[in-house]
Amino acid sequence: MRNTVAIAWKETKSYFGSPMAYVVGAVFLALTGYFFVSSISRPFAEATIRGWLLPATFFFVFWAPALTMRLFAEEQKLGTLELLLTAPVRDWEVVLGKFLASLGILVGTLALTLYYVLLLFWFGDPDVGPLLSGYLGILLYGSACLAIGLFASSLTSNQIVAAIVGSGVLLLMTLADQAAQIVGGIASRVLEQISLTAHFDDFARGVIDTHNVVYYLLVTVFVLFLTERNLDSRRWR
Amino acid sequence: MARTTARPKAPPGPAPSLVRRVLGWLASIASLLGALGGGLVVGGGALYIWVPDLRPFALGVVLAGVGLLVLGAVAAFPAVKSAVTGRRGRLTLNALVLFALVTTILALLGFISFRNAQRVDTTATKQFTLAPQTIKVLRELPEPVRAVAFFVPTRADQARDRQRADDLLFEFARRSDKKFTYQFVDPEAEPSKARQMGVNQYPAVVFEAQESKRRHTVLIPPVTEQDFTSALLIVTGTQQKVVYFLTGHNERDITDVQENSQGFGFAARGLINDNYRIQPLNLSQAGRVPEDAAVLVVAGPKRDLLETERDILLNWLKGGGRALFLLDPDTPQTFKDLLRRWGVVLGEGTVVDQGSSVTGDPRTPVVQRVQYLDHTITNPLDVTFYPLATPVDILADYKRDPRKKPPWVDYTPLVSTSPRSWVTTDKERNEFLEGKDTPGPVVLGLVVEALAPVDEEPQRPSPREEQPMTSIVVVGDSDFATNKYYYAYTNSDLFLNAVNWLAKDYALISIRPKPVAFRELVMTRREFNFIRYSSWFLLPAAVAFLALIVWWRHR
Repeated sequence: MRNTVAIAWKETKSYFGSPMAYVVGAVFLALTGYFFVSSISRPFAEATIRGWLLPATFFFVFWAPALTMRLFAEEQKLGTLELLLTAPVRDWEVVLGKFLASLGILVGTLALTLYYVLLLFWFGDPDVGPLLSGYLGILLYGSACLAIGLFASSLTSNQIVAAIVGSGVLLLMTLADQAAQIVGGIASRVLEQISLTAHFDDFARGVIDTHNVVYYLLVTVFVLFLTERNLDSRRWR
Repeated sequence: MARTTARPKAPPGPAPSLVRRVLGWLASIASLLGALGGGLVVGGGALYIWVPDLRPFALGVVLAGVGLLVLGAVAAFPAVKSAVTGRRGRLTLNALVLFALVTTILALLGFISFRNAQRVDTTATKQFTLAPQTIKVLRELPEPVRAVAFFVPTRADQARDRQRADDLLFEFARRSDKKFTYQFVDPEAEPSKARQMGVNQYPAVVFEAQESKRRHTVLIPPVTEQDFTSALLIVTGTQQKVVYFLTGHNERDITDVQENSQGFGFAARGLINDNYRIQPLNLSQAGRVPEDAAVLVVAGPKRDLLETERDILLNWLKGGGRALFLLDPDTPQTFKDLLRRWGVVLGEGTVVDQGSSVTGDPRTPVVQRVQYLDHTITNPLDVTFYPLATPVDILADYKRDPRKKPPWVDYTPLVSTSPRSWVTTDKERNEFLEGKDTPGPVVLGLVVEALAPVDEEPQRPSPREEQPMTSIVVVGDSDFATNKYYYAYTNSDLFLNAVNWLAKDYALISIRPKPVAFRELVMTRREFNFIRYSSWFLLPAAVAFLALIVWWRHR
């Protein structure tokens, strides 16, 4: 675990040392700010964060791969990944460390959005339950997206390719519930279960369903497992 | 000198057998076979899942793919063997087994969590927790039901109800195991869809059973679980709202279905088509108004109420009864006295309208669109007419001084005759006579909503919602809804709208309404501007500024 923390710390420092994380964070905040304001612009506006939660999840399609594309792709390009893999650390410690670093950036960015919550409390009386469930949901959603972005980064040494592959997979998983409405029968159910967004609606409304929590955790764990396997396969491929 | 070495000739061996030759050839295309087989298996599998109609064909494709894969494996047996048993092969196999194991465990976990899902409603008022009755109704839906919610998305005043309806319908759909589905339609963008579903007023949610095609419209606001659940019971035929027709006083006959007759058979049929159950009600026989009475219709009585009947009716109305009174000029006094308790006065005489009436018959006033007053019952109406009508009014005291009207009673006039109309007691003369006749315009229909009769204080001065509200619609004519005139102009709509409006308050199922706390943001224009600009620029600019510093230091 010490190794994981050390890797996470190193990656976090590296995030703060390059402008990329800041730029991505600034764009995220600009978009959430825009959607927050438009949701309270109409007459009889309600004091909730629902207005920006859903657009934010869609923005994760691009945001998460942009944040994670560097993590493995760059190391592969520079050849430092071989060093890391031969060092006395386990593969899963490497994967987890890098994942935790990106998760830290996500948490930091979401913490800044608490400014909107502060405004809601200042000018209204928001229902606390849906606020908490909304943040829990977006954190789980974000971790699943980051895991997928990390996996894409482990597939290639080209950061741009990693970002495109990551965004592509996330886009497909985001739009799966739209596709579920077009097809019928079992396929519709399968697509609905795969869809990242279909599991998010409840959190946004203020309902925590254990199935949705388990879904995001399983996606995160499964994709991190795939990443670890992918790294391991480099030894014998 | 160049030396040439002659390669020794291979001794002529036996010619390879046909099987070996074929296997050799297959081995050369083994990878192609493998790829083709894999492609067919994946394609066939996808076809099997997505296109149920082509399943036999898809199965064939999958089998062909498996066949090709087996053929490829047999042909390239040595290669496959070394790939599996060699170091690389063993490691690949290990990886595949581990992958399969982890995938199975995670899928199992997902399945278990799906089957045993627990939901925690974090909203303060437990907005998304459906009542057990609703969940039962949804689980036991005998046929698929679809709801179409008609809202105009651009209308800010509908936004709150739209959100609430969406949340509620979402929860209904989730609990119904796919038997209940819903969609939102903009009636202004798709007027044909609204017409097709019989919607002329919106916001509204139309529930439709997919097999029986029974339909029920819930007008919004309010958005309540009770209304939606009742709608499900109605369209699936599980329960119906019952409309009782008072009998025993020579009222209009609901069993008379003769065309051009004075009966109410067509009106009764209209109600049945609107998913109501129709029942006659003799008060002296039944001894009470049944509890399941959504609306009581009193259509043109000619004889007085008995004292016991009057008491039963009075008590039922006081307890939140909903009744439609269609009364003609010669209505018996006991009925008039009953309505007077709610401050309604049935005028003496007949209405004569020289401004707007059926040609040659000034005693049949015709009411045009402009003559209706604003109410849910009359808003969608076009022309209606009222043969031999009597005026419906409120107590003269209240007209002279509205401050005398008790605050627990509300009146809404529905229909008014033209300014060139009057009330006369003369049965022949159709000319206005000063001093003898009362000049118009005359109100022909009235809605009363009251917490108690005008001469009794309401029992509990608590908020209105908690008290039974008496709703009465009085129309000074019953001829307009008889078989003879029922289908003329929009007479039938007036009758059905009045019953629908009265029945709206009657719930088939009792679900305690949840307190809805609307958490509005209260801010001035300047405060909004502060929120706007700080949200747009403050945070992104601060983070972008940090990016600039980092970039600068890097440089």
